[in-house]
Amino acid sequence: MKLLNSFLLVSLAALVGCAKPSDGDQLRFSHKLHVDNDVGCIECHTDIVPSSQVGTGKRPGHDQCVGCHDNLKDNCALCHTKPDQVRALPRHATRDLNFSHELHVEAVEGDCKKCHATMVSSREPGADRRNWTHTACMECHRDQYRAMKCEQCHQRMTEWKDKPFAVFNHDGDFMGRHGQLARGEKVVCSHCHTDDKCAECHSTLQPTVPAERFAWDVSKPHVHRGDFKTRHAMEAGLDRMRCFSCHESRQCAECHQESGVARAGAAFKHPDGWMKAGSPNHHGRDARSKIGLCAGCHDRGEKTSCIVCHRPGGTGGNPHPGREMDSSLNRERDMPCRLCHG
Amino acid sequence: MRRILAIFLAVSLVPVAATAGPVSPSVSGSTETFTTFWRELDPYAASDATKSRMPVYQYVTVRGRDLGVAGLSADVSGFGQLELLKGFAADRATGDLMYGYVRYVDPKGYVRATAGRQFVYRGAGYGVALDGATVEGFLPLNLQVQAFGGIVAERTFEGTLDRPAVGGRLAWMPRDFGHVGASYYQEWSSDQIDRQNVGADFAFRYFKEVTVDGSSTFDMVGHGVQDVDLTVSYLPFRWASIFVHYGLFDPDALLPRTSIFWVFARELHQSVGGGFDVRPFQGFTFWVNWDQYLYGSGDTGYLGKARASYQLPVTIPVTVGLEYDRMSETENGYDAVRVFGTGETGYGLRFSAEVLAYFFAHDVRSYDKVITGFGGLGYRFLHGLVLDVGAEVNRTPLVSSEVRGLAKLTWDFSFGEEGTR
Repeated sequence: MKLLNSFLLVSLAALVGCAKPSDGDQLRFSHKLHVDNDVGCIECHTDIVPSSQVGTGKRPGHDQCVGCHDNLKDNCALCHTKPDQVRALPRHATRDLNFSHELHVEAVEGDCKKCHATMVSSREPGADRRNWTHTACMECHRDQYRAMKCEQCHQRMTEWKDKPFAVFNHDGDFMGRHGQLARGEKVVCSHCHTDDKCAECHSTLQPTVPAERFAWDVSKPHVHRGDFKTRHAMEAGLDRMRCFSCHESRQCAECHQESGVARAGAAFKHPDGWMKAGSPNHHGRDARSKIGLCAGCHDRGEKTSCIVCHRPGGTGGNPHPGREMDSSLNRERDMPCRLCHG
Repeated sequence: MRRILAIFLAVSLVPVAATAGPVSPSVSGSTETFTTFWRELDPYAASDATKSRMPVYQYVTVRGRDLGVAGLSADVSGFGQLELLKGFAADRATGDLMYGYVRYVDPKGYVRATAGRQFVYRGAGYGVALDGATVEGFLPLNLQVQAFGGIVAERTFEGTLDRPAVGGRLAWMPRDFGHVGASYYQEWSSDQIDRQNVGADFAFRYFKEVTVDGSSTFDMVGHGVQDVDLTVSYLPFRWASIFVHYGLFDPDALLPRTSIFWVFARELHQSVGGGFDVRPFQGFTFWVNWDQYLYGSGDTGYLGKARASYQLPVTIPVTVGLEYDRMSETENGYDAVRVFGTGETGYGLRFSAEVLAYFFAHDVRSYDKVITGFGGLGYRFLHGLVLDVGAEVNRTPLVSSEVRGLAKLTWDFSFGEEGTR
């Protein structure tokens, strides 16, 4: 096993080594050296100040370098590791940002280090790009962030497929996971969505399901698509209680009443052996795992049919599942104890 | 009475505030008039006779922004329903306010106050519609505090309304690295505690690519864990992501503690799963998700989903897709296949179509499969005014075959400077 681990590690290291961007021409350039020699940023980055969009300011070219370094003209290898393989530098990724160097240079009074703090100690060109996270902008722009004014920086906020953080990633089975993400991040969701987005599906008060109201939007993964009524018992059987994340409990009873399953002699029946102790279909098994489904039809307070049998002296036996019951409840006075013990 | 008051307050604030003050207000919203027609088995007939149904729904949503004061907004959404054909649900006319609130956010976004019908999270995984007020504040040291109180707008299983509720959450949000939060929720019914939950949640993000989210709720009355959720997401590339998930849930978490039913439940169920999605080239997305369920009884179930969709590189935006689902629970299961396509021409015409089939593991009323076909057309008459018509054909155990017609008129409107999302 150790051998395998070692092999994997060595292989990985070899792969990483191969992937290192050492091929082709690289620039030999130290920002630190220039800063230490009191070269101002704008002496090289001459057109950065008037640039009003991120990535539009040109990088210093030969003209800027040769302006100070006469000896570079005929000695390419001083700066280029492979002068015969010189290539154009990749463009900065703009990520559709509204960003003006012009305004920022003014705001920091020409002190570029306020944003490019790590650049002054860098011995490479472009070495502080990794620091360009949201966090760096938040040093000054937390107010806009809190006020959810994302569009001041982000041009097409609602069109991003790959949102800035994994939590914003809406691809894949996002519908299946969004509830868990939203629990602690409702503020994050509200950057782009108002409560109507939740209510479209989650309002237990509305009469239709999204698959009906938005039937034309076939690219959305609607839960109730097609003949959901036929398979709803299966869906409820899989993720027990998931129905109640959107549906109000009375909707079970109302629908069952309308469709006849709740009337006497209706087509819907509990399985054979439902009331027979020892039967594989005995209702106790389902009650312990799907109690909400039982409650959808049978929870009627003092008129609940279950407690006809499940009460002291009844034939149904003790329903308490062995969990510790709340000792603060008064058996004779408080619900639900008083229904049986009062 | 409470509902009428909430609607009155929310709606009346829109025009009043919109006419005052130095800022430029904006009002936008939408109306949807929607009807559907179908036949289904008449449950009260002796034979397999069918009856027709034709409900009409009206949804109205209004959003107002900067209503006289910068940061003051109002959101209202409600519906009305009318059953046109008598018999099934004769003379049935209903309606309700889904949400309606007035919100103020201070110019720097440090304080946010909301009053009216709104959604709050009460723990055990679910939100609840609350008629009340919420105040959220961002404090120094990256602390966020939220407090709310009001009356729950939804009924319990036995139909109880007018349940007061209070709750809150305190969270620490260190920079952009996520958050740690603790929450509390309490609800009463007839002077007795219906629910009392404490919750904890966290999210951790590492250099944008990794997110770990987790939450748990503890029932203070029943002294048990109600739910646990843990998800780890990883974005290795801009075009791919993977995640794994664990969940635990107590089925009686949804029941108020005044219900007799919660003393019957015992079995927690757990789910473990994961998935990935890739977008290897422009317009193409493929994702897979699998969840395995383990119930307290020892039974197991699973749900697997796979989906591929592609936006065709043609002059009009057309998206086609293929889905496959496989599900198994303790008593039945299915394999499902769905093919869909949707697009929009440059002349305001849009179209959508899908065919889906569910093949059951065990017959349902002697049917081993259900097949559904849907086709729809939409036409944009003017800016914001769209008429959609559609038809759905089902081969179903409920009525052997069913043809359903749908029609919807949507109007998106806005006045003033557009400032809404």
